[in-house]
Amino acid sequence: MNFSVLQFPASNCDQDAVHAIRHLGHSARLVWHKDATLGDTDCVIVPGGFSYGDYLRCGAIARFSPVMQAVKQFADNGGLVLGICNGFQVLTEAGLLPGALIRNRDLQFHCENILLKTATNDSPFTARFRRGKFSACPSLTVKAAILPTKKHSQSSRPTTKSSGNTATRPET
Amino acid sequence: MKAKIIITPKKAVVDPQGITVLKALEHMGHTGIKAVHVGKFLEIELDGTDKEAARQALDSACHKFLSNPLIEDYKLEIE
Repeated sequence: MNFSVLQFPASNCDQDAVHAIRHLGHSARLVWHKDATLGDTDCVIVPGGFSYGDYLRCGAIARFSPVMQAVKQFADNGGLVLGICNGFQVLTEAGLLPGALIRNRDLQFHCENILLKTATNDSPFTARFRRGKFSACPSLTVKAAILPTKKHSQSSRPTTKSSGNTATRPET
Repeated sequence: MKAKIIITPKKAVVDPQGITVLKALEHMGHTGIKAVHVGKFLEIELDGTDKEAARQALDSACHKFLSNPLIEDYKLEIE
């Protein structure tokens, strides 16, 4: 598979993502956020970090980068998009994922091993998991996602229809 | 002209910063505080004199960019 790993100012672990993908025998290349096209891509990874210094809201400015238009189009056409950490926040701000992120209720940074339950394996990202099975996963969070209720969605900005293939992991 | 924008968390959204500040104020001996909401304040300096045009442009910017309507409310004043 061909992976594109996005790079915003102050992205981090982007090189780690490229390293991991290549280690698994796939091809990976970095795509600068000012690029308007993704090129030949099977999966886009939006890495973590502190895009635009987390100014205003995490991911709020990065969503306007030229590359995000290409990512939206890619996702709308059924492309695979994976957001990690700040990448998840960028996808949320871009309207590719529902909801918004607010700080953890106790204002603490949570660093712990958690158990994730496989809610569905009808997705390329979880196809090899058994439904209902728990898997251990390290988790670091400052912000937790909230999903909009129906009432909230009515007042929200218009969002791009998110692809059923978009998988994400809420983190910092 | 100047635009002043106040962005606050929606009342329905839990505001842990506000709750923490409220508890700290109470700890310092302040009483009678019902709630604290922590938000953002933006002061934007503008060219021109057309307040209505500025209001429309910034209202759109508030909705699409400066606030997140899912979790935040905003107040916009032009002076």
